[in-house]
Amino acid sequence: MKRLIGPWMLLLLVGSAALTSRRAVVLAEGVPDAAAAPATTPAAEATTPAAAATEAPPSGTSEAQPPAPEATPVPKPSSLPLPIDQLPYRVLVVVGIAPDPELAVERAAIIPGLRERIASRLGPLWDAEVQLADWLSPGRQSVLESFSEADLNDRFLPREFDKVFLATVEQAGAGVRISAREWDRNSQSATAVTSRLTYERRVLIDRLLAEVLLHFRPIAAVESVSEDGLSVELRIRGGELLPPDPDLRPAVVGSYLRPYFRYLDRKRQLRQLQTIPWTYLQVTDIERGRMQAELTTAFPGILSGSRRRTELMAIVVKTRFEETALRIYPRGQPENPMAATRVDVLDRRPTEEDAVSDRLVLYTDRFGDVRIPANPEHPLQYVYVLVGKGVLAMVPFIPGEQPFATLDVPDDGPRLLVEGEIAIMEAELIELVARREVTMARALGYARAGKWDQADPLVEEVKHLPTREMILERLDRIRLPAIDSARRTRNRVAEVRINQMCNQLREHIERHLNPDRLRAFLQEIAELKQAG
Amino acid sequence: MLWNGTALRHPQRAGVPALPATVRDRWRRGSSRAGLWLVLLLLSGPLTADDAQQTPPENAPPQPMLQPRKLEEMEVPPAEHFLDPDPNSARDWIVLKTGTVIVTLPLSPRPNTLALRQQQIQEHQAARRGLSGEKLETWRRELEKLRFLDVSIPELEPEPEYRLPLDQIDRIIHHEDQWLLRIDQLIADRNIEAALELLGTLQQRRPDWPGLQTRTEDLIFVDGDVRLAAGKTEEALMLFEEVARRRPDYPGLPAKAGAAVDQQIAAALAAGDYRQARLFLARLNQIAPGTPVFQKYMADLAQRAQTAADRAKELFNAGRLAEAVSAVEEAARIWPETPGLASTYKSIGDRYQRVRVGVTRLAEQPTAYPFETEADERHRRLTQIPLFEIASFSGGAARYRTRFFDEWMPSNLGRTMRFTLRQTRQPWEMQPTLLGWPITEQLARRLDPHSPRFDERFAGYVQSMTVESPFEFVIAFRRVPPRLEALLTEPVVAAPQRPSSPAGEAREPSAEDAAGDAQAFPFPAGGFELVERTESQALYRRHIPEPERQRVYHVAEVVEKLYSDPEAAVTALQQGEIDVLPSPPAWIVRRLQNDEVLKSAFFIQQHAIPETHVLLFNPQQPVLRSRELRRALIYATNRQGILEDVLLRQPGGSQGRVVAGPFPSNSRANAAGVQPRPYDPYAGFALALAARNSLAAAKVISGELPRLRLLAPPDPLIREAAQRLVADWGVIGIDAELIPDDDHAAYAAGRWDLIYRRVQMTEPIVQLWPFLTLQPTARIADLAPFPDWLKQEIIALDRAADYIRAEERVKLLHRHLTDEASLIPLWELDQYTIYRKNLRGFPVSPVYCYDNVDAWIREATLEPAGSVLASLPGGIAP
Repeated sequence: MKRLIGPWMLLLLVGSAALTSRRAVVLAEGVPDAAAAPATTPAAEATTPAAAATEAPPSGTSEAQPPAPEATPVPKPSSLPLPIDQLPYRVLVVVGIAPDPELAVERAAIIPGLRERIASRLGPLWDAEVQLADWLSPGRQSVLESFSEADLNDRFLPREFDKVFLATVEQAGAGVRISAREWDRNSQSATAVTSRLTYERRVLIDRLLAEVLLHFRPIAAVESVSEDGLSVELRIRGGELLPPDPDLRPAVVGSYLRPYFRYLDRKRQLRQLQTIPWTYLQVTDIERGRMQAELTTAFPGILSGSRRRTELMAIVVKTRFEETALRIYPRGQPENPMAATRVDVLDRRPTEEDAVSDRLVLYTDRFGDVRIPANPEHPLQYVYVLVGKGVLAMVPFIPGEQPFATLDVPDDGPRLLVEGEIAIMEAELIELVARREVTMARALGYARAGKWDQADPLVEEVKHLPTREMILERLDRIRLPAIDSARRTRNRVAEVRINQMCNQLREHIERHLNPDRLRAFLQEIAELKQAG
Repeated sequence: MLWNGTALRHPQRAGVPALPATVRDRWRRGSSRAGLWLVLLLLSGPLTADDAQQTPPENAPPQPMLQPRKLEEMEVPPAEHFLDPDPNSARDWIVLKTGTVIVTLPLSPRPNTLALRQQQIQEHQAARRGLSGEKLETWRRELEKLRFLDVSIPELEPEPEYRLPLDQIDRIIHHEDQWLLRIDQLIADRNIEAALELLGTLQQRRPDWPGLQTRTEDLIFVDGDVRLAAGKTEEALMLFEEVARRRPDYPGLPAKAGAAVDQQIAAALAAGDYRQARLFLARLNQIAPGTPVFQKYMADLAQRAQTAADRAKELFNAGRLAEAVSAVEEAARIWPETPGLASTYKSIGDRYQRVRVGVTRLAEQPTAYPFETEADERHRRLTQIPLFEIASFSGGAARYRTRFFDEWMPSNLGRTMRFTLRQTRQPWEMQPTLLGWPITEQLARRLDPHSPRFDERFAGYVQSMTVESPFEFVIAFRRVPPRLEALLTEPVVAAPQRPSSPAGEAREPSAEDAAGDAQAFPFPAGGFELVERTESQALYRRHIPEPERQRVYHVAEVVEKLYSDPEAAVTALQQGEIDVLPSPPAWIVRRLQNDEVLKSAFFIQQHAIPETHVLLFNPQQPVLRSRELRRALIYATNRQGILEDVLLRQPGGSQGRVVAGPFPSNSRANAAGVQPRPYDPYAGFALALAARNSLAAAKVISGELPRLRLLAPPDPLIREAAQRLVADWGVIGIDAELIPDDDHAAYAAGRWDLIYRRVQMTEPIVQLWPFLTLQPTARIADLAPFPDWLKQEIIALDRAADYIRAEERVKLLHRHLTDEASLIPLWELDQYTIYRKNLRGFPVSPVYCYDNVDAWIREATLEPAGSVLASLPGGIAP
């Protein structure tokens, strides 16, 4: 049975102009807790400092900050509630053109050209407004990069646009650099800036539009979740509004979306946004505005269950970068990233039949970063973080969506420490057993030859070798503090693994340091002595 | 009785066998007149013994007849006679005043038998005073007895005992005298072999015999003459030196010695080997002062030296200082005693100082060893100047100094560091005065991932660099480095490089890249520049010369002279050919320390840090991932034995010690309680067996362990030690071999299992990581072969925020590296550099041999006139 979110809830999205610009950062009840949501995207992370900056903007940063909202006429909301798949995107395209003399000719042509191309290629899908913005001056890539998500939220939430595309055009040597990014109202998120050079001024406007469209992230509302929680039904915004250019449909089969929760208050106002990390929906079927999608997530059942006053939305994921630098750090210790950690990147889940031997094996660098290349054939990759003999984390991930991401994993320090101690003890155990056997053999050899002056010291040496009890006691001295530490940090995985390792070694110790062997040896020596 | 039996038992004298009993009885019966009769008979002509008896006994057997012969008729026995071991074959000749010779058994006492008897008589006569009566009679009898010489004449057997009045004896030619006569004859015949044999035998039997010494001298002299005639002039000269040592006034010696050296000096001069020529002249002069040969060559050499000295002056006045020094050194080499040369030498040598260093290997020589050799390190320290360098090492910690900064002040709890550059430099300093940007440019290259000089660790620390003014720049750190100076020990100034040599083929790729990078982005110029390189020496010259009109000048050139081995180098040091001997072997240091004369001529400076020797495993070799195998190798290594036998050559030597880690034994990085594993071949054998089984079970090997290949530096001594290591492992059944030094591709191709490293780990916190990964810098990717837990410990050390925590972590790492048997610590050796005492300015406790080289001052002093003779063992002074 699928859980229906209800079309009335979707309709409320239309009136989202009433949403507050305040960005909630506190987790709400019923959302995955910190342990269940180990990773956050940089966009989400960037919220907190940006929000703080909003409350008390630092002096001297006015150049990088967008100016106060202009008195631009706000598009009037539709008077009739339409289904989401019939709603166009209200889009604002803001272009900043650098005051480079080489761009004097293009300056006048860009805005009208862009309007014309948007209308001709996107048609009803976009209700677009194109502006040349002075506040993006001097129209360079660095200006785009200077805006945080909070800046953009502050600037555009009061306005009625669903999507705002920021683009700049600047001269770069013999070419022209085009940069763009997108801000989305529904998810209150922004894409990272992309940039490319073009040397063909005749197609500058087409390239500019292409750069803008690269950032276009359609949104969809999840209408129902299957009982097993592995597939969903969605309606995509504008799905019924076919654009003239068929390549610009909001989604196609195989597209990926990332779901997120919107928690509303009693007045149906957005109270909080909750991203769902390491979770993707892959479109398996499309019928105009309706879509079927399968869920891939690091958190089974994450979409199951009923939630009051909660919207489950999804936003399309596109790969815009060649790679993503994924930073891995122990939970709660972002200042101590995990260097030299093995990260396996697989394009499919391993099974008993297929261990995925063609996996990409990477190691994190000194900053805990691993650069995962985007894979156009298999956008969704599976990232395994391995430490020692265990898997520390396994998450699905679409590299190339953003240049940088973070992944926090359980702290494996206590287990790793034990693994080292165990490795050393194993080697010492082998050495001890080998020495004991050789010494006993030598002693017996001398004893049988009646050379007691040589045999006796060896017998004494055997007697003074560490015993099983001594080794076991040492093992406990390693195990108990480690277990205690893991329990204190509620690191159940580490606790289990520590116990496993210690128990295995215990078995070896008990088998190879059996005191019966020593007793038999001493008895044989005693008999030889009596006989001699 | 004058002739009582007791008094006449002379046949029992030492060296002469006892006579038969019958002979002794007859002797006792003999009358006192027998001797007299014998003399009379001898004086009157040939007689028989029977005639000598007044009343011959009836039925007596016929007596043998004495055949007196004249001395001229006597023949010296042949050489074989004297070599006869039978003592009864010896005969003395008593020459009577008539010229007749009586051949007797050896007399006693001898030699000087007659003189001794005369002395006895005189002493006896002196005892006459105060005697009377019976005593006087006894005295008279004894005097009478003394006036006769008892002889035993073998010719007159069976009654050979007779007495001869002393006053009839002219002289006695003893058996040994005959021996010497035979030697004389052999020497005259130039039969050196036989004469030497006779002389040797006589010396063994009667080393005190008069004339023996003379014959020895004659024999040596003639031997020398024979060799001289055969063209063996050096051998002849040595023999003449021996003669001179024994008897300086030996007749004819000067001429012969002159002839012996004449050809050799001529050859040495033709070869331009003036030192050798002077050596021959000095030897000749010691043999015979002032010979014509000496005068001739001395004049020639003095003339040549004067010419060279004059040329040196001209060059010096023309400002061609290096050439002037070469010329004046040439003059000093030719004839140091040239009048006026000493002052010329000093004025030129003090102005342009050239230090000569004796080495056994030059930099950039091809080798299979992929890491910096000792020669390469010397080259680096001469040609490159780091931002910070170690000034001293005390209390287990290094202290740094810099040539470039007036101060460096931390702020923001160490997260930023402001460097204020020195705006002046001393005229003698080898570094230029730098502005901020050349330094930051070099540092920035270490931050650029696309640069061959990229330093991942440094890039991890540095957040930004800002040049705030020409003499000030600021580095902001992401993390506070526990020891900033240790991070900034890379060079920022270097001498211009020559095109790389073929030796580069065997270098690490990164080093090549860095060299290429250095050529593409050159360092600011300074240091000592390699300006000339031949097969026998490398010449480094100060890149920034000292300006004129200085009160004191410093070393301008360093010449590394190549010697075949350390012994040759130390000989050169003794001869004054070189001024510095870096890193001599332990036994040479001991020798110099124990020789008061040598000790007074040199400074023997022990370095602040010993050199630690360690074996590292190839992390890519699957078999060496077996801890059991690694432990087996450690237990099987007799480190103490190899250290004492090969490296120290002294049992229980104190100049080296077995260590438990890669750090100096006094380093703070050493964890308490970590001891070197004992030499226990049985444990090694057991572990090798366990390793073999576990590796076979894991299908890493099919049965036997593969042959392990050890890569060692090209130093012969180290390779000898490495050969011993290989032999030790063979004892427990681990087959191993030393990779030949000409297998230059072995390292790059991965054809190695263990590598011998020499390290002075002054800053383990920084140095340990690249040391373990065998790379020039600390890179995360190089940690891949290590187990995760060890990897994280190494990273944790690198991330230590303060020095105390870093020390704790390095100690933990030391303990775990030992437990894990990640390396085989071998030993550490105390390092020394020997400086001639005309050098000053070097540190009392240098860290490296070229410490403060630009501050060195070499006082130009001509080597002593006799120093050329120092090469002769023991000298030849009489």
